[in-house]
Amino acid sequence: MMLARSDLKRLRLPFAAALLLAGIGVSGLMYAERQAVEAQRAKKTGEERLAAATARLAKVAEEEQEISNNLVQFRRFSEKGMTGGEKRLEWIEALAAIRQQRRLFEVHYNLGRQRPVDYPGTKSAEAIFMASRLRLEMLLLHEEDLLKVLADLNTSSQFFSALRDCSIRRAEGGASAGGPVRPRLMADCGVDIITLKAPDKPS
Amino acid sequence: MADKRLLYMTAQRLQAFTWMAGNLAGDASFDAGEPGVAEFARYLAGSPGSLYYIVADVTEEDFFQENIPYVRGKDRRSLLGRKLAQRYRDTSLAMTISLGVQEGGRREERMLFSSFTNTQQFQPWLATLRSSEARLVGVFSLALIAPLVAKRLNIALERFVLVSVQEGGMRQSYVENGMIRFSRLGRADPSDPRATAEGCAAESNRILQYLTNLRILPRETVPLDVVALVPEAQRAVYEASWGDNPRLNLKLMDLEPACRTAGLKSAPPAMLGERLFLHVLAMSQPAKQFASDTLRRFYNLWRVRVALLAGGAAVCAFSLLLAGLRTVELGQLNDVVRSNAQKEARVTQEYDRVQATFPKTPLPRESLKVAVGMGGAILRQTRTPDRFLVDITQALAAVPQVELDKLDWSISDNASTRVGADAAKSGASPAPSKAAPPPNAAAPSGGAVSLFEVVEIDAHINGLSGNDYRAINLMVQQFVAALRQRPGLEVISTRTPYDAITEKPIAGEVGEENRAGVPRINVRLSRRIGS
Repeated sequence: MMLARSDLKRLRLPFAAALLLAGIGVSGLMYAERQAVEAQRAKKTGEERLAAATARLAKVAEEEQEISNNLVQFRRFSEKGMTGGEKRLEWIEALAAIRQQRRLFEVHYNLGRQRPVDYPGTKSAEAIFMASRLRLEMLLLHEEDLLKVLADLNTSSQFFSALRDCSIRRAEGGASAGGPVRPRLMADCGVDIITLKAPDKPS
Repeated sequence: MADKRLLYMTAQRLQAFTWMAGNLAGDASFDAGEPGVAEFARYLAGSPGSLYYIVADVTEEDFFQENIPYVRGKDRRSLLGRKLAQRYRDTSLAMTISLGVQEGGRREERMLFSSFTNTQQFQPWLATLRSSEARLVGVFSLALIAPLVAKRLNIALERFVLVSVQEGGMRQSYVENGMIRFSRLGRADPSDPRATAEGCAAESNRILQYLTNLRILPRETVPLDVVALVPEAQRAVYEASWGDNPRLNLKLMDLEPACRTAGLKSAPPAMLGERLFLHVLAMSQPAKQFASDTLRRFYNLWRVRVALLAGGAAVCAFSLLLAGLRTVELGQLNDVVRSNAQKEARVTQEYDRVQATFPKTPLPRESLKVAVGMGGAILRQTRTPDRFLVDITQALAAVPQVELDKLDWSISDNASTRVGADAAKSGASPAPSKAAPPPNAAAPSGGAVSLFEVVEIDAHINGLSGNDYRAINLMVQQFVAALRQRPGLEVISTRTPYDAITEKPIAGEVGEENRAGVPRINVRLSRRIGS
């Protein structure tokens, strides 16, 4: 069977119709395939979610125990004064009280702005603990005065302090014998006053 | 599906019938001549989508058998074309049928050549079909249809002559092994059964003689069967007219039952044997016919059109079938997804119910967990220098010549880091102690961070000159030894005046005493937190 070139023109319409029909079929198939793939994906996701929910339910007792343990720890932090907001006025008053109680010569302080705690091993996506760096410059008679001041800061229930660095050196002219009592040591210490960031939504 | 129009052509006229599901209906009759042809053109214009089959029942039909060399492909086509051209003046309505390959000394193919020898009578009808763009399926003869009729009527004979009476006359077709070999049309008057029956007997004898003379039929053979399709009422006339002929064996078949056997349900009452042939052709057309591709152009175009649409529809249907299967599968998947979602909701509900009984927390639970971890880490690294001061005091007591000037204490995760701003300003890099390598500052395996208390001591040595290096080194060694006796305490590095003279050019006067001033030393210590 031979077809002339002029015959091909007569076949344009049926050829287009055949293409259209085939296109409709293939499009339908592709659409169904895509839907099936999406359904498979949804099924897989659903199965994973179900497995996760089931596993979570199976560990609910463990989770409750963990929360209880965390609460015990959290209460410990509260007792140490780590929780609660920033109370700068109380801190300054506490410093003044320590100075008066320990009869220190001079105490200069410089309280920096609050920043997230960034100690080694405390990296977290959300900043929960905040630190305000307190620089203390003190003239002391003896190194024991320094230890007492640090102990007083540690035992204060109003706030929690973490000593990060301390530099002690001889005060100039402090070593002279006789005469009025003069400071013999100078101490420059960095102390972080740590507070817990206010919770967004307790549960 | 297009309807089938059967055009029964004799020398006098052309009759058109419509065939549908075994029913044959007469449409029109067109006499040969211009008026008939014009009327035929109008008839064709009325049904442009039909398929047309011309069934010619004319005397001018030639059959000729010849052996040709066994060749195939283009060679065979050109050889057959040449043979037809040699035999017939006009080959526009000619065809060949292969009768089989003969194995012998030379491999040859037995061919039947056939043609209408007077094509002029066809031309008006064919030209009208072509100009009307009618879909001509082919030009057939009753001889070509005869084997199909025999097959339909279950005539299981090796050799026989099929005799039938049509409007065109009495047709006798010799069929061997299911293939037409020869056919001829004789005169017959259907209104005179006796004359027709006698004609059948006489013509059968003649055709036997002819076939034997041409060696188409072997001489020594069993009697040749003659199957005659006759009206039931004429059986006795045919039997009486047959006479006694030992070389011919008459088998009469009633025409009406034969038509029913072939599946013909109805036909115009005036039709003779041609109705059976037309019906059989409409049911199953033979593989061969006489018309060329030029004559069949519009039929071929229609076939391609149908094939294209059928192909497209098949692809569409197959794809939609697969899509349907996929959709069913999709439905099942969606059921599983819904079921999983319901199960998850139930499990989550149960979890929420249990969780509601959990103790209240001051922070969201995850935040509480993080806070506890962070708080623990902060507490672990909250230290005061008390212990260090006690250790250093003990060491100083052991070496009273060493007097402390300055002490820098800090917490670090790297014991090698210099301590304090003053130490950084001094610009002196500490030389590692020869005796003690620095503690490993890297995190130990397990992920926990190692933390250290680090102390840097600046001191001077009383009672020694600054250039009395041996005595200074000895004193420093005693001091370091005293420090190392303290539990957990590591000496990272020491620095003495001797280290200074090994790092830069020096000049002096030998024997000069006490010009170098008080010797100053620097010692770096660390202790791992938790040790």
